[in-house]
Amino acid sequence: MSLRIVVCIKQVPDPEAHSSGFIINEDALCVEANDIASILNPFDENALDIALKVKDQYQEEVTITVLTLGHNISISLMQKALAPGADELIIIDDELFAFGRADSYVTAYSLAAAMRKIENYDLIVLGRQSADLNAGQTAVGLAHALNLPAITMVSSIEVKKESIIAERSLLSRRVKIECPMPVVVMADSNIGMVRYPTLSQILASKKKPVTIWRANDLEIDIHYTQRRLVLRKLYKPEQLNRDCIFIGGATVEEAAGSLVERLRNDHIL
Amino acid sequence: MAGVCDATNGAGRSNAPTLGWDSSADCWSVTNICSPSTALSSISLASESPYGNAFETRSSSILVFFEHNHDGDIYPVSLESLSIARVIADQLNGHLYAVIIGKDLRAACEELHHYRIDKIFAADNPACSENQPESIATVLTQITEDVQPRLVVMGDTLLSQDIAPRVAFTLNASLATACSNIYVDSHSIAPQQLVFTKPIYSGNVVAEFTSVSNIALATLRSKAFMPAKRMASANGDLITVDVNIKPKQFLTKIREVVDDKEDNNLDQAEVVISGGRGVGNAEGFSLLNDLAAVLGGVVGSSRPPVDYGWMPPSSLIGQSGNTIAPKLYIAVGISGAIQHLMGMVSSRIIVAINKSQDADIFDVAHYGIIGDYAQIVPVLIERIKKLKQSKGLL
Repeated sequence: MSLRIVVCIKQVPDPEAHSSGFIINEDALCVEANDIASILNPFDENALDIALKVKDQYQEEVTITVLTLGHNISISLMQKALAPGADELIIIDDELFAFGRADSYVTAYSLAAAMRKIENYDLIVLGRQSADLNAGQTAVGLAHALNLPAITMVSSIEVKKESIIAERSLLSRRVKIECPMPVVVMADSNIGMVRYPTLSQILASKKKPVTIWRANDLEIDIHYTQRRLVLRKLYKPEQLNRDCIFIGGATVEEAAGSLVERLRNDHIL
Repeated sequence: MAGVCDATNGAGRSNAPTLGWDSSADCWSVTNICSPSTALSSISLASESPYGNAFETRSSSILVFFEHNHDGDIYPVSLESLSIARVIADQLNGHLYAVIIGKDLRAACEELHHYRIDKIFAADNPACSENQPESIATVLTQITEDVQPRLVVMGDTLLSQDIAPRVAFTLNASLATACSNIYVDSHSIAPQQLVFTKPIYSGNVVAEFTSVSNIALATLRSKAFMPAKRMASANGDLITVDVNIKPKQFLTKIREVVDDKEDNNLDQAEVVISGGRGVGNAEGFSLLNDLAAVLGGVVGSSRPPVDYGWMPPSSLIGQSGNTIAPKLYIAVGISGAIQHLMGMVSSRIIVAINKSQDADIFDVAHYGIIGDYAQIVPVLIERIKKLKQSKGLL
């Protein structure tokens, strides 16, 4: 058996950075991350983890390709995705994919064009959503564009000869789905962060093959290059000024008593 | 090695078109192109439609997709979606239609008659169980195609995160997910333009989008609106939709369904006690359970306890988990990352207990206690017990 898994990973500004770092440029209608580190989209780390677990089981028979699409992509950042066990990196870097220019259609159909160029693949794994635009449509959209089945909210997969059995994690139940390959899988967001690479893996990741494509290198279906959803305005959320009432007291008993009293007056207790 | 299916329509692909951004037209322009395909998916004619007069107002009608539990109870987020859909339908002077798809829908349909809905489209079929999102998406696509609404609204749920993109991509329609608001902009150049508001960058920025497709889809964040009001009297026509799904239509096959624990009912709870990294370990949550028990509440958590395995993923409150708005929310050892705040900020009263005075959670809390929860919570439990005893409740 030889199996090629493509994991789609997006570069995003660290979503846990302080709010003041997300600066709105109203003229360019974009968000400029000021002094915020770029990171691998945390949701996509779950996708990489699913792929690495398949590789744990089948070792050399599995090739993992990391595919990313965006603008001003940092190769050294993306190599972090290679270190724990992926084999090669394909970067699609183009101004056309800068913030606010690509909606889920443009992204999905551009990734589909990249997949056609990659040609041989069995399994495509994506995260549930990106930590920047949080649209959560790319996995299903990519499957649609490639006319492949899509399975969402997947927490683990088991690879059979020509099919996979994917476990979907839903609120109060788990559903096992069997599906022939090729198939697109959207990872659930509760799988956990990707494993730490060893020092030798980090060093080795710098030598793994990197391919860079521009939009022109892809045969993107023009019908799908017009956005369906158009960004028209960006603003900062209203600041909540709740003026928190700090409840103190000489003792813990006093503080607890005072809180209970207040909640009673608010008709909460 | 498996082959690649080619599902695209082929337009413009043979000669590798050269792409460039055309800012005036707000799209990519192409300098070497065969013929851009323009047709959206075919639209069935009104005379062929089983939905009668739905087409008279198709440009301003709105569809709301409803989800329900096994007892036929409609999901709160569906009723919240109905609320916003009703406002928009009234502004557009259009009809409002409900869509419900699943199996054993009788109780849910009866319930829907008690809301201000013009028509209820019900597809009641065992092939459309909650575990078969492809079937549900296929039926919803068909109904949407036939009705040609201006807007399709549904709650942002695990099911809609699966089916909404399927429907949107099949119909070439726009989809705005996890919206905090949808409104009609009567001042825009395009008359009565729909605007979709949603938090991006984990809530650090708010974005407004407009749709350029004939049909727009949107999913709505939980607790963004009050649920629609139930009426005592029943109204609305029920239209049965025939489901024509062949068992082998989809490549995916259900092999096993394992029911986990009962739903924790976080969404419905009036009191939620939530713990974060500051709780320290899984054992710490037993103290939170005791507090929840005396208040008749449910225990939730922020992201770290789920990542550390102290709490199950279903207990997660925040951007990628539950969005809740209980009467009382007590945040214990939660620093207040913005992703967490997004899931609980609408709670009526928020109490934060944290060691650090600088914790961001105090920015949204109504009451704060600075200190060690392990000392505070047991005393708090005793005080609440005393109060309840004095009221004869314990």
